Amino acid sequence: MASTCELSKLAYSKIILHAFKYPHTAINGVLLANEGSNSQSVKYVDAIPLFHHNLGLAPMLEVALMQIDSYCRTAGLVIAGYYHASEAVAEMNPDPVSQKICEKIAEYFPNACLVLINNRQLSMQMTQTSLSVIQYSDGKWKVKDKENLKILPNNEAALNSVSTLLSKKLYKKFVDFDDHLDDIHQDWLNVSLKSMID
Amino acid sequence: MEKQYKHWEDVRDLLRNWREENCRQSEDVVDLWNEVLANHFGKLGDEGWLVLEQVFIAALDCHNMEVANFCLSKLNQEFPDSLRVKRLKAMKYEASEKYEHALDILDLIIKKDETNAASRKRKVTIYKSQGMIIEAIKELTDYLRIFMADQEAWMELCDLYISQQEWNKAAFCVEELLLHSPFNHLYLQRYAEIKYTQGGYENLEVARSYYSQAAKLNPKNVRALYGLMLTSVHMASNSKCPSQKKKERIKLSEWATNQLSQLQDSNDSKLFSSQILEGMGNLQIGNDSKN
Repeated sequence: MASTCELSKLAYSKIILHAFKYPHTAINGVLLANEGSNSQSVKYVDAIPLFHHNLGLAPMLEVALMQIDSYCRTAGLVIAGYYHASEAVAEMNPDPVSQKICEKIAEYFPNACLVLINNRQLSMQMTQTSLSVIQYSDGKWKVKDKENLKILPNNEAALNSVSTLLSKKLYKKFVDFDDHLDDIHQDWLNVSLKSMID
Repeated sequence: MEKQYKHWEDVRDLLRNWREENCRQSEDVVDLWNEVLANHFGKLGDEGWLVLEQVFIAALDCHNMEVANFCLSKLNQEFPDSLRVKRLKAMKYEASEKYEHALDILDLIIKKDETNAASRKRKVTIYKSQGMIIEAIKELTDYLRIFMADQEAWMELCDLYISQQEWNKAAFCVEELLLHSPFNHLYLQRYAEIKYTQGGYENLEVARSYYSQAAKLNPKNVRALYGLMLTSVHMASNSKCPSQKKKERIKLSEWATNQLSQLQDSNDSKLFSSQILEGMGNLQIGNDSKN
């Protein structure tokens, strides 16, 4: 039962911009899908970046998820996945914190995907998607094949688009939830960046 | 980095600022060096060596080996027997992932000078880069037995323990930091976060009191305000909470929510608070009764 996992250009760009803004720390965030999505072939339409410090601490994670949940209800979306980049460049396995968070997400959205960034494949000129996906289904973690991960409209267009964003250093203006907690006026929805990404 | 710094003196002052505040602005440092300071190096005098060191480390951070090599060769020329420059060489090996070479150099430095704290700390980062967190923790705890007053090290150890979900040990590190600086709202807030994550009614109580202290010292600490709100609401809805305290808790959470809405200059502050309070029941990630 090969189910596909699709990422919109917006979601993919946000993941990569987040990774580039904080290359020296671990980062994480959630992925949003349209309400009523089929969990077999899920399409992630947006990504909300969460933290770059102490990803394992619960209180701010709860606050973030509550606010994102509220936002989702107004926008007709659901929290359906999670992404993570490890601090160490070579680390390719999800850490216990990521697994726990994704398992929690899977309680509300079955077969939630955990997208891991392959740090080594990142570069200013992106040539590879640099992502690997594992899916939580039936209480087990299963690695998804590369063919089942697609970036819309197609991998090449998305990579070119992201490379352009990186060359313009747009990641400097990117805001994650940690930035919002440091300065409450910063917009974790990155609305102003959205038009530049599309 | 929006402003264009044309004058080399401005750039020099900016880099000095970043050095003093220990800011990690590696990309900007390297860009400023390439565009401005490299041509005016001779005018920097003795500060030039500090700038070279700063640019070297920034270049390693950006993996710009050309600039890094240039800086290192200049420093080596001027200070050939320096242990400080040797440590920079070890950092270069570390950046190239040649960890064995880096460790050899660092061990040599430590043998020559047992009080060299920075080299010992670099050993910790070498283990951390390779994902060997347990070894990094061991190395760091050995270091802290000798250099007990190093706050940066205690904070790093706290982060390492949090990544391993060893909440008690992480809390102990923050307690050490609080001994040094009991009025640091960030340490108080961090302690509260760890206690909250541990879960359980008693830990929530402790978290609430530390969040309160943090919010008292800095009413603009958003994390402390959110924490106050979370702990108060969780405690008020817990069966262990005595009824007279319930009213206090709810009032406290309302106060925190109002503070937050004020900070956000939100016009619909009632909507903001009801949204958050509504979501309270759904999501609870922390270990409730486990640890």
